[in-house]
Order: sequence, then C-alpha cells, then structure tokens
Amino acid sequence: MSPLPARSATDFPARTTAPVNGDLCLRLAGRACRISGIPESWQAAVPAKLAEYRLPHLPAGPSANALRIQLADPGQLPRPEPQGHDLNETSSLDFQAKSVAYTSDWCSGILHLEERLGMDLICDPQGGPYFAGMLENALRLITAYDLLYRGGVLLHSAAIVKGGGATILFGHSGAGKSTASRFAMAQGCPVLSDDINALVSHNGNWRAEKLPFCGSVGDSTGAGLNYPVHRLLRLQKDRENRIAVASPAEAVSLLMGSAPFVNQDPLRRERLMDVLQTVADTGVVGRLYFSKDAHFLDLIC
Amino acid sequence: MMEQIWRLEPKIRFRRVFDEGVLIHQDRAEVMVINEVGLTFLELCDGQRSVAQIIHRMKPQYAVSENELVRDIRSFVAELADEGILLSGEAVQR
Repeated sequence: MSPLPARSATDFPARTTAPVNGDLCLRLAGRACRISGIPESWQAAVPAKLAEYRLPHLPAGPSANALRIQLADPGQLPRPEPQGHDLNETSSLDFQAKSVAYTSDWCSGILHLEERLGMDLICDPQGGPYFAGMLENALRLITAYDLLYRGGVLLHSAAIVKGGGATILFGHSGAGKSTASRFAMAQGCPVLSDDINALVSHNGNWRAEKLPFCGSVGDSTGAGLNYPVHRLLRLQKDRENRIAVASPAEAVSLLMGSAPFVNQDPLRRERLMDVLQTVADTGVVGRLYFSKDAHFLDLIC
Repeated sequence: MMEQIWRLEPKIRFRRVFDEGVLIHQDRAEVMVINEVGLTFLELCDGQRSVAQIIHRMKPQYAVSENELVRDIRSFVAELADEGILLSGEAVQR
C-alpha cells in the first residue's frame, strides 16, 4: 500500500481570525485571549460581565493568549468535596520550567508558558453549574502570568479612582478591600474592582487596569479602563486612618504577598522581584492604617 | 557561635534593594526584609568564612563598636538559624 501523500500547508484551511461559533475572544489587561471549546450547554454559565470585554475579532499575529476547554472522560477527574467552599482555596499549582499545572474543583489544566500563553483546561462533564468559577480562575491564572511576562503584575487589591488616578489598596482577604470600596462608592469614587486589578507599565508609568474579576462589592466602571496609579497602599487595620511610606525593600515584600499565583512560583520569582522592584522604585508604595470608616478617603488624592 | 561557619539554606534567595535586603524562602513563599547590616552579613556568608571572620571584614564599614556589631550579628544569626534560613556548618579551628 502506498503511503498517504504528504499534505502541503496550502491543503489546510486558512486559520481564521474571527472566533468560530461559541468561541469567546476577550481583551484582558490589554491582551487578547481566545477561549474555545465551551460546551454549548455551558454557554449560559459564562459570566455576563465578560461581555464588556468581548472582542469581535481576534487580532492578527501571535498576540493572543488561548484557553482551550475540553471535557474529561467520566471519572477522569477527582470529585470535589460536597460541601460548598471557595474555589480559590482548593486550587493547587505545580510549577515546571515551561508550564504550570493547575488543579481545582471540577477541572485540571496546564498553562503553557510560551510567547503566547496557552492553557488546556479539562473539565468534569458534571461541572457545568460551576463553570463560571472554573473559567474565572483559569483567566486569573493566565492573566497573572501574562502580566508577569509583560513586566506587570496582577494584584489582589481594590482600585479606587479619585483625583484622576487610582489608589490601589492591597492585602489579604479580610484586610478591608471591600469595606474601603463600599465607602468609596458611597462617596462617588468609582472602583475598578474590589478584589483584583492589573498593574501595567506604560512607558515606565504604572497604570491600574480594570479586569472582569470582582469581589462582593462589584465594580462601578466600564470594561478595561485604566488610570495612572497614585499610590499602592497595603491595608492594615488600626484605630485611626493614616498612611506610612514603605522603604523600597519593604514595598517589594508587601507587594509580593498580594501577587496571586506567581508569588508561589519559585521558578519565576526572580522575574516577579524584578517587576516589583520597578514598582517600588517609584516610591508610591506604603501602608494605609485603616479604621474602617470613610475618613481614609481624605488621605488619598 | 563566633567560630561557626554558616551557609544559606539553598531554598533562600535574597537581593539588595537600595540599602536593605529582601529575603525569600522559595518553598514557603515567605518574604523578610533585612537591614543593611544583615544584608552585608549574608553577602559575606559564603560557607567559607566564620562569623568572626565576617565581622572582621564588616567592621571598617560601620561606625559602631565591635561589641555592638558582634551583638547585632549574633542576634541576627540566631534569628535566621531559628527560622531555618541559616544552616550551621563546621567550626573554624583556631
């Protein structure tokens, strides 16, 4: 039997730049990300807030990241514990030289750290009701690495817009990000997100950019907006509101604690340190001692 | 302690950020800020020199008495050893 003739590149259909039916193409922190393979019955679970970030066409050239979703065979993935819990608290990461393996409830995936990031996410066929959480977490992971490789950082933070710029309040869960965001919104200051924001360098100037990831308060601005960063303040509960400047080394250490995913990655930590040191060099990092009242807004410009 | 040689736990990374240092435990993802004296000590802590030899090298750089420097370094080494950041090696024989 003669072997099949080799096919030339011209035999293959041209790669389309428009999303195929069911694909989503989003713009996250200035970068396109194409999401493919969403099962038809799961389309309704795609968070409505992503619509604002949707791109009609994939930009030409190798500039887009990709999230490829596949359904697992039954029993291929371990089932999560039945009681409700936070997806973020049950995910685990395994860091390799050119990839990051990710496991969480209802899904497991590999993020390939190439010039264009690509993540293959295998989902439990029964996980449809939880798809919004699975999708958001995967996008957070992709965005964290995408920003890191572009010299930026994803920061667990609230971004409050006042005086034409953003003040980034960062810190762990329970530090007061959502409380501060509520006070800010009540006083007419827009909030990009009360949970996670992108910090992007534009020609050496740091800007806070809105992402479709928010916490209990939500957001009060349009998609993808960005503002110059006035200050980055680590929230710390106290009896009175005041701001203290952090030394550059202290700034690096404070920021390190609020850079999700990548701050656990020992293979990319030097890169993260480089980025955080450039943020620290601006001298705008400090601590906000926060008494959980609206008067802190008087301290931020 | 003064004749002891110390070396950094292999999972620890540190870097100078202006006149302070940032020290990271790679496995635990813990970060610590250290002052200039501690940073200089770690930069000289190469697994070859004893604490006394390092202090001898450091002394001309600091306008403090040797006793004060010794006290600070002993306290710093003890803290880092407790944290598993510095590992003790052999003692230098006089």
